[in-house]
Amino acid sequence: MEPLDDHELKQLASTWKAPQAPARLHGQVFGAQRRPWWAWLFTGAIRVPVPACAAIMLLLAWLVIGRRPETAPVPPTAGPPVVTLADFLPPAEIQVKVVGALP
Amino acid sequence: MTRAEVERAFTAHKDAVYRFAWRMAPEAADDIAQEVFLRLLRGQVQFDEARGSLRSLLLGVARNLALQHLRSNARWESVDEEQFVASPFPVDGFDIGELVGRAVQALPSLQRDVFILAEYEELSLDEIARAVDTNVGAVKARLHRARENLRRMLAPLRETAKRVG
Repeated sequence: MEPLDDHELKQLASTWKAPQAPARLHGQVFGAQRRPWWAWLFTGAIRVPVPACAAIMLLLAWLVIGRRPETAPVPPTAGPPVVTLADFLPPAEIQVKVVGALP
Repeated sequence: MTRAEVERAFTAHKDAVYRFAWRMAPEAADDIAQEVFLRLLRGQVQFDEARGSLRSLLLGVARNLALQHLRSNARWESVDEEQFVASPFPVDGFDIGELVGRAVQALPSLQRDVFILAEYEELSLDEIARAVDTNVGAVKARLHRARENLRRMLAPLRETAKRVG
């Protein structure tokens, strides 16, 4: 039997149709990776460039060490005593004693 | 690649990857297409624009997975693909497209992949060579043998070919 020529083969090849990718494929690829946004707070990571990281570390070090007061902090003292007459009791008997005479 | 870039690549190339996987190994098309994009997402496949298009890279990954599947399912031909001799296909009781598909799938794997990439995915010889990790000369030779075999296998469909044309 005589083989087909190029044109005939091309025509026949075009009759073999393949299906398109099924819609479920997206879920199969990306679905397993999808998590709630807040999960990032527990497992997430961010990239920080080394210079920025070094600058942040220096700033923190300056805040902790550089701004420390030179003298030890004095604990707050109690304020001046407050005098009230709430508990005042007048004496039961008054004895007047003259210690000097008028000229 | 970022997730957003992989999503864009998925949208652009999912059909080509799935079609190719389906033509190579229909029963594993879903798994193969899924694995191609998961590898891209996980960074197991690195895209370098200087080394060819993303499409040929993805089809190359799909091709390797398909061959791996065929090997593991003992459908890998032990016969040297150069020794493969095609004979006319029985044409009774089949749809024409199905017959053509059976003929293509009867080709040795190393002829089948280049034929599908050239004929259905319209990759250039360079792109095919990159996808199947060989040189252009080898691609030309395999493609020539694939076409020769198919011309013989599908010869009984000559009248149909004229009607389709």
